[in-house]
Amino acid sequence: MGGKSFGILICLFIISIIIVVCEGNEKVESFFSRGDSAAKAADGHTNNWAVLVCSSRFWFNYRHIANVLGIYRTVKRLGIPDSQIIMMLADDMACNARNSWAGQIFNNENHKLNLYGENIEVDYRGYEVNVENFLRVLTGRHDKDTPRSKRLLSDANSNILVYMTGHGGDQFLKFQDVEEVSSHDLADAFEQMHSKRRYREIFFMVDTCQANTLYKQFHSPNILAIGSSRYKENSYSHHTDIALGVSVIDRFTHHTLEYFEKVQPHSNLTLEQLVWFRKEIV
Amino acid sequence: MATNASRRRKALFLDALSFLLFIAGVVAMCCPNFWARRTYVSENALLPGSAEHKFNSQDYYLATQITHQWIVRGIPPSDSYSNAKFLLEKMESLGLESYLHSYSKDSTNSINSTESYNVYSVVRAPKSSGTESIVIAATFNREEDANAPIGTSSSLGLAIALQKYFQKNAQKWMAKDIVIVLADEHSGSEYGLKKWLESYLGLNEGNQLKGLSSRHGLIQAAIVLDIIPSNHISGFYVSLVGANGHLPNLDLFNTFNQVCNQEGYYDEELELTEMPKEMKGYFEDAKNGLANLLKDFVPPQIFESIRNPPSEVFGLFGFMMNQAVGVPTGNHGVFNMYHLDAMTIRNRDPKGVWNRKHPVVSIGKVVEGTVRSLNNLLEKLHQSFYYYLLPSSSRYLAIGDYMIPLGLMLAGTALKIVLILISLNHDRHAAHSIALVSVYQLLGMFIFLLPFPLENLSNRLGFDFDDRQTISIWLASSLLLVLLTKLLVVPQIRRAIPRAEPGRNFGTFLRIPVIIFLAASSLLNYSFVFFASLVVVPLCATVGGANNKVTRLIQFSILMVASPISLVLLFSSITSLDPIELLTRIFVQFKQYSNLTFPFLCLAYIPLTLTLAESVFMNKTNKKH
Repeated sequence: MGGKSFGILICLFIISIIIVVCEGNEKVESFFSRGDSAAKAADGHTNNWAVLVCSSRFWFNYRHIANVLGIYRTVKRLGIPDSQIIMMLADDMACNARNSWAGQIFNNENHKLNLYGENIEVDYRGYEVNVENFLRVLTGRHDKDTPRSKRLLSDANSNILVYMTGHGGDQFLKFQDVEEVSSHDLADAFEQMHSKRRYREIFFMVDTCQANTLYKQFHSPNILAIGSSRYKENSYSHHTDIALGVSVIDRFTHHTLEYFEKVQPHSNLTLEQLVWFRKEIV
Repeated sequence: MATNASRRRKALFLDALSFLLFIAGVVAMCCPNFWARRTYVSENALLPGSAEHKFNSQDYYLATQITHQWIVRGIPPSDSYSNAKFLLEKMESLGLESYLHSYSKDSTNSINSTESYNVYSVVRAPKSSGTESIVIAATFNREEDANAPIGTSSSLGLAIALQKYFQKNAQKWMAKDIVIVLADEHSGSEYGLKKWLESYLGLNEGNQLKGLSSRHGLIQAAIVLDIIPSNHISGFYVSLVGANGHLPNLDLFNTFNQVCNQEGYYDEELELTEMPKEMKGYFEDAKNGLANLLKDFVPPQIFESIRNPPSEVFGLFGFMMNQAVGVPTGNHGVFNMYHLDAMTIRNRDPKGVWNRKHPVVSIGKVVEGTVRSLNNLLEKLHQSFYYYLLPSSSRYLAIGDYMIPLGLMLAGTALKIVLILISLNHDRHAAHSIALVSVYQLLGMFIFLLPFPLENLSNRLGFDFDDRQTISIWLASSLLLVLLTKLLVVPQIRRAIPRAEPGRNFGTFLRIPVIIFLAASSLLNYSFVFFASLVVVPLCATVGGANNKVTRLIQFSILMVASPISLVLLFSSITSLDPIELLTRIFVQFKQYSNLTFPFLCLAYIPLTLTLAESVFMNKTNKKH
């Protein structure tokens, strides 16, 4: 009698374990598989990445470097760590001989905030910033010996911010004064990312002349793009720093950063509100 | 075969067309306002006017102090060494790294040549590797400095004060070294500057520059200061024209323009060097004469615009005249000869109550701003034009625009030549004409090359003639050569090619050398060719191929008026020099600056007039040439 009931108990226990385990597996699987769906699900988002690109060099393009460094600082402050930020700066302004404030980069003429310091991490610098490396970063096709810090190790649950600034025109962005990346190249890269499931959502922000033409060819899902100017429009700098002798920030980036200064981590503000804020300025 | 009448009609049509094209070309140059473009800065890296100017009245006070100390220094101007030493000590006491540069005044390195000195100083860019530099040049021992009122600054004082300012405040933004050089005006500042530049560029083997011999950068641009000490300033004169009309990159001037705008100097407050005073009177007379002539034929607005043309017309002709003469209008010509961009800045006194007065410290600010913009450059100026004409500080004519009027002027003659040439038979008439024209061209070449062996010979034989005596001998020998050619060589040619009809095709061939010379030289010195065409094209059109005695007489008198001798006499009366002196100057300028006056005279104009004279007195056949 005792042995029989014990055996039944054990069977029940084993069955319940099996049931629990099977159910648990399903839950776990469904937890991990939820990110696969291309629907606009609020969950399935587990990590954030940022790819920040300044594509122009030379002293008179100081403001493009300052643009990217400003976005970098904001993005870091709001929670994305250096290990998940890929920053590409095409030139070194801080140590340029013409910089009266050596080792410092400002994006405002009040010089209150030094964007360059000891706590920034530049992943691609100088001539490493070119179209080939940029597209490799996006598509993940690297040489075997590319270090991890230079790779975009995103997955299907990543939300990625891609911010680009420099000189551009109708469906192109100029890199380093010698080459261009076209809107077709970008659309292609994002399509590759989509088929390799390297992103969940992409927020594409670009500050250059005729910026909106750069995302004209995008055909992959879940990409939100915003540009600083329309086709045949120029984007202008915000103000000139007469002590430095250059323009230090562009208008679009300046106002975007101004908005984000009020944003705290864990805030509930939405992108729609950012766009409304921008509409008020324009 | 066309009949005589139709041929005459064709010739008349061609003549009328040439005349119209010529007038169109000249008129187009007289109205630059219609087709001149606005100037703009082409090079994005320059960023002129984006930095504030911190040169202040304290720095200017230093400049006035130095000027005053110079006046009371008590050293005679002829003692170059002591003057240079004085400046050297002054600059060293200010903490500037300065050196002396010596050169011998006499270019022939003879025993009794004296040493003259330049003083130069360099402020190195601490964060840069010193591969590039910007030069500021000034002169000492100027007569104007000797009487400078108290509280004013000369170019000497300003240059040293600027250098001190750069050393104190500018090293944090300097990417290029800044070098100032002070040349001795008493010994010829242009020559001194040239010697310094040659040493800097490493062209003088034995004369290296101390302190710079191992570390000096390529000169990106040079600014020459030509400041007259004054308490008031109402604007600037900028001189750009270098040797034989070479010009610096237009961006250099555009940068200066923008920086001046930032300091409050606008439009006509920034002038280009004026028309030479002697020419101004003649220009006025010609203009008024033309206006009176056309008074009844043109509507009142056009008459008004002829009588009071916009200032751009004067500006353009002043610029062209300076370029045509081919002599640099300031010391910047020294740099131009090595294809280094340079300009001379001179201050302008207020001319009347309507000229605004600006603070004198703005001279320093403006130079500082220009240097700061040039500092931003990454490579030599290359984006903007090297061939241009400036009617005013905000308008320019690019080479693609200004070549067209010249083309129109030369088109008629060129067209006639080409039409004849393509319908030519290769026969003994053509051979005869070609031979004659070649003889006169060779004569021209001999005359051109003659002064050089004469100089050599005189030095070898120990006579040591100066330029004036050489030219007198040259003149006499050339006249002799001309007579010999006419009396001895030409008849030989006639005898050598028998049964050739003189006069046939001769007129065509004699015009070819001069048109080729003008068209080719227009790339070198456009303004000179423009003014030469004003003389040559009407001459070619009216003279040649006389049929009867009356026409012959008229053409001969035109030729006499336009002959080289009468032109020399005309110019000597305009410039109030005696003819030999004028010829000497032309020759010396050619030796120094390679300008076009002497070559044009010998290689193109003398053969032209001689062959035209030949053609006037030739026995003509019935067939027109």
